[in-house]
Amino acid sequence: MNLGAFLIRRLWQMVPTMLGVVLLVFFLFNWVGGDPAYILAGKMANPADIANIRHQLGIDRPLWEQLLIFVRQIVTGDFGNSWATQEPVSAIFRSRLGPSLMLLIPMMLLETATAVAVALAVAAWRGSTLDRALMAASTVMMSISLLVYIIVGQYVFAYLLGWFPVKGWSDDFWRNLTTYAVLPVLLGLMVSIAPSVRLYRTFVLDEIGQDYVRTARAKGLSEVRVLLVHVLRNAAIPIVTNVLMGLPALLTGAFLLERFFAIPGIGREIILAVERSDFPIIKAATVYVAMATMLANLLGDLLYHWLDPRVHLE
Amino acid sequence: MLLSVRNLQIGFQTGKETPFEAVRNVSFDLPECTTVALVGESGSGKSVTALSILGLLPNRITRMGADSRILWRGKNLLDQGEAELRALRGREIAMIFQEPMSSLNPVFTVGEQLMEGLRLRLGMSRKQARTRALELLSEVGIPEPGRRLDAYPHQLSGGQQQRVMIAMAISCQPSLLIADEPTTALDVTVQRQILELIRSLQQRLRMSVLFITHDLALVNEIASEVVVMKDGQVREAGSREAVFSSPEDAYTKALLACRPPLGERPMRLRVIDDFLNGHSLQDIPLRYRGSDPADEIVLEVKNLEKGFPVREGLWRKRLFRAVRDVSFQVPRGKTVGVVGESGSGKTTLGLTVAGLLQPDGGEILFRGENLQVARARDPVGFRRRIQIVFQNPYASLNPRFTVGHILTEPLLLNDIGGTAAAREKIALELLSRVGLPRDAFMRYPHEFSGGQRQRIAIARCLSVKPEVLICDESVSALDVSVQAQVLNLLQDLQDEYHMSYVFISHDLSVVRYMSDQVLVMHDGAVVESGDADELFAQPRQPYTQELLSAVPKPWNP
Amino acid sequence: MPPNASPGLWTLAWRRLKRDRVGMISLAVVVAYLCMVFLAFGGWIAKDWTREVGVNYAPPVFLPDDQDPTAVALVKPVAQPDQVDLYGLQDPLARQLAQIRAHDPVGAQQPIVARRLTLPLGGDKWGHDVLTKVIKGSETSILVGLVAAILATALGTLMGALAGYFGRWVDDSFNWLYGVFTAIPYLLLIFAIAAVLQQKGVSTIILILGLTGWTGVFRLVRAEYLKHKSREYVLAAGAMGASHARRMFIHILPNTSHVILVQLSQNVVGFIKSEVILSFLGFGVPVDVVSWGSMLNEAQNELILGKWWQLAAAGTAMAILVTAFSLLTDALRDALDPKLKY
Repeated sequence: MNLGAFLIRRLWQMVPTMLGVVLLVFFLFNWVGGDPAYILAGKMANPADIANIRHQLGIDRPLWEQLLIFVRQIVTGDFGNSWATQEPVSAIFRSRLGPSLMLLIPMMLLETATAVAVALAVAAWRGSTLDRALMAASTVMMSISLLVYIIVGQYVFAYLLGWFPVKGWSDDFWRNLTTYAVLPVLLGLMVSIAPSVRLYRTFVLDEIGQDYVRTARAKGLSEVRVLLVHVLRNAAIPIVTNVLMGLPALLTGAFLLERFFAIPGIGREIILAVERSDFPIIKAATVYVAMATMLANLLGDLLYHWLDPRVHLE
Repeated sequence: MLLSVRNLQIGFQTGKETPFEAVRNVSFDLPECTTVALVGESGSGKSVTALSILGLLPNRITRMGADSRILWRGKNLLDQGEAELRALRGREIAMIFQEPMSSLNPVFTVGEQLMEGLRLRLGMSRKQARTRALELLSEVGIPEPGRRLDAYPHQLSGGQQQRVMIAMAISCQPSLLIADEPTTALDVTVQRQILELIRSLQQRLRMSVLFITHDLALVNEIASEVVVMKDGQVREAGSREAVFSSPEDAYTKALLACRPPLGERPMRLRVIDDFLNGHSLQDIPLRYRGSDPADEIVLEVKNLEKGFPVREGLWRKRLFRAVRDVSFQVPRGKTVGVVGESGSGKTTLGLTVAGLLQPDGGEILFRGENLQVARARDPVGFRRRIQIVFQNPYASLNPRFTVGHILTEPLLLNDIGGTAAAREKIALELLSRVGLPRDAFMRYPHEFSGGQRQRIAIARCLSVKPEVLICDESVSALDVSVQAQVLNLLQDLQDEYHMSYVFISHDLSVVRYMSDQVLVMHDGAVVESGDADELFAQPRQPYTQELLSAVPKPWNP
Repeated sequence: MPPNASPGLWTLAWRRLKRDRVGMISLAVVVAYLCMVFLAFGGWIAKDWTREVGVNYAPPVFLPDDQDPTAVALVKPVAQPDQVDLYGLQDPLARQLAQIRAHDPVGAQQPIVARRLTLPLGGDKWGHDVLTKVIKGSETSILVGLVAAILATALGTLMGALAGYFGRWVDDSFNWLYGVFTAIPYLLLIFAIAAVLQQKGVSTIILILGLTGWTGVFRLVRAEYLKHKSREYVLAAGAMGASHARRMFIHILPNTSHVILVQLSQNVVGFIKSEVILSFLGFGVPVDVVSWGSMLNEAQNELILGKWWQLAAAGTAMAILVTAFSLLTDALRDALDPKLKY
């Protein structure tokens, strides 16, 4: 099947899932959450104000009309203004995307490269002391809360040693990348590297156990070639898909980094919004991040099919 | 002497336990330009021996005996370092394996894998390697080699994959080819072709072949020397003539006798115990099988259809017809054999008749009544009339249940026996009927061997007193010596309970031995059917003829 | 009847686990924590964690210091500041604070208290004993993790079993639900729910985690059921007349139990971590409940002042439990793996 048809079908299959996400968010905010007018009106609300706000938000209308309004908001990308700052939601997201990506992309690249290298090394010497020591270390590393990493890391490297700024962000791309983003990215790496190494190690070990590895050895190939060509090319299939599908999770991991280091990214914005009960921002973030996740999954699928000749696009 | 193995002793150490001795004191010789067969059942240590020659056993857990030697042209390979061994692998000694599909790297094309060895080991340029790869592919008989060169392994059939493996193995013109069960995973017609290929290449390239197999009939076709192994030891070794015409070891004798012969049908097959215990070995009376117009018909299958939807294109689904318009009758107390290669639809037929799949068309009549209707009317009563014994003895018993639980559950579900004590009594009787000790009742399936598990599965079916038993490749996963025991048990049970069998197998000699009538299936349809003896003696359809001619010929002095 | 019943798969798994030294030590650690939780829950230990027993930021006993560890200081409690009445608004926490004070007559009403200068693991800003606080915090965090994990695993198992076994539209609908829940990143979904639910509480956070965390279990259990439903032993049970429910829960479920058990313990670890983050951000447990997350939140500001002991205590307590739990999970996976026969 060709690529176009595959894409069309997969996008078509996303429609019900997307509808589900919309319904879930709608159900959460318009039904579970109770009346937002009381939150918005603040502490000194009188009934008239509340009625007024209810009318403005459209929540005095029947549920299906509210759902329609919500869908229109999603399609047009116009979620109105933030309740807290009165800034348009779309403008907030546009300006917060850059800093988030500046954390995410280096984190993803560094993490994948390091984790694959370490995983190959420990898999090559599987069962050795090195392997066991690294695996034990990764278990302990994974057990420490990421909060502890961030709190201690920020205190030691920024506050005590002064190697990095404690927090902050600038308008200059290079300055951000080379000074402000470094410590958060390194701390993020500390948190995410251990689980990745463990996962990739099992991927590599799965492949090492396959029959074709025995064939390659019987051909008289060197162990390095067997590992770097035959095994890695096969292990790359689950690894690449895993990296792509893990992107949204990485994004949420960046939430706390952004908050601690006062980086004006999407994650910090969402935490702020939750603290302030700023519903338009949370709703928009949930829906759009869900869309991004689904697209990342689709991309992962495409890459999977491209990397693995056994699987046909279907 | 090209290769001499002396006092080979191989143990595997896992954890702190005493090492498991896989190979004990094995010695044999492999002269130049000859084919030596290493024969043995599962667990005999034949594959371990082969892998040890190339040094491919996992170093960490392998323990070699102190005085073990593997002499390659006089040089002990066990003393060689990894670099020396690697220089030997592929260049001097090449190897092919049982599963060609998994033995090829799935993400590289056939050409890339062939050329890798040529370029790295023989130092060819890309262009030279490509030309040579094309030559090799045509040498192993792959049609349209130019197109196949850029194909991925999964795009080839099993036979073609094994041909590619062979092309790769001979690419550096080795002096020794080790073939580890190279045809076991293949259909009988393809097996014949691969066998021919290996034989012709051995002569043309003047190399030696170490042919490892569990099938003595194959040995007869390809090898000039035979080494018989059991439990890690050599039981008998010698020339083909000597081993086949005058075997000395009881185990070899048993192996030769326990395969059902194609020409005649003894009442029962001789089993290992007969030889080991020195039972009287006088001729066993013959059994007659065939249909009789007076037969009472128990089960009738009429124009049965079963398909599976396959996605095709963007939205469309196509129906893959796994079983097409199949009709047959099963008389009481008789066996209908179903024979066919992989993908012929024989297993789907079995599952549909057993009621585990719903038919798309046609009818299954049980004593004249439509089975689907009857089951809807009386689910408990009709369910149990037809039972099935599966191929895989490891998957067919619930590992979390004791054998007693496995045997009493169907009694409970079908209201047989009444009280728990009565059910237990029935289960114990069943155990002794299938030849298992009473204490099996409290044990779990994982404590039993494949043959014993198949006995338990048969006992489970017997517990509900079925009238029709479907045997879906029920003995195919078993070693030949165990196979004979289970076949004898099935025959005894049929004589005793007058059950009807639908006996499904890819193994022609087993089907002929067990069946009164035979259906030959191909691509979901019945190609030919008739009385077993008649059909095997005079096949009318070309497909049946091809199938029969591919069966390895037994020793015939 | 032959009396020598042979060991079943569970017994064999237990024997394998017993041979695994790391696994057994981890098990001992986990059991010790659970005992502690049980005692704290029953009110036998760490009941009075709100008592201000030490001076503010009392250092740990083991810190090299010239102070006499048994010395006490007589401190006058800080007078409660008068309620600042602005705009006629009530302090939103006033009621809870009043409750805390009512429950804690010792800390608030005693005029002059003898306070220790050092505490076993130090004291926090108000002079609470960090040791009792860690015990109480462990109780909250572990209870949340455990109960939420049981809820999520039960949900995921039931849904996965139904979807994998019945296939067709049942599978389609559960898969749709799975798709919806996994499209939204886990933490974001929890944030959204936390934002909507205005009331905080331990049961709320258990519900949030439990109702969103079933997806991983669902995926694996569904795959197991897909695999097992066409296994010969299940087909044979069907041919014998076993009902769907019997095949699903009596035949297949025990054979997937190793997957479920491993998932359960993974979920406990995951949920403990989530609870810590949520409570840290203030979306988790209410202010009158202590958990590892709320301790880390306080510790963040204390660290700047150089008072590191609360951070170390909460962080270590959590790291030890999570390490032990993860190692136990690995050991369980090895011991329960049905591929290993003996």
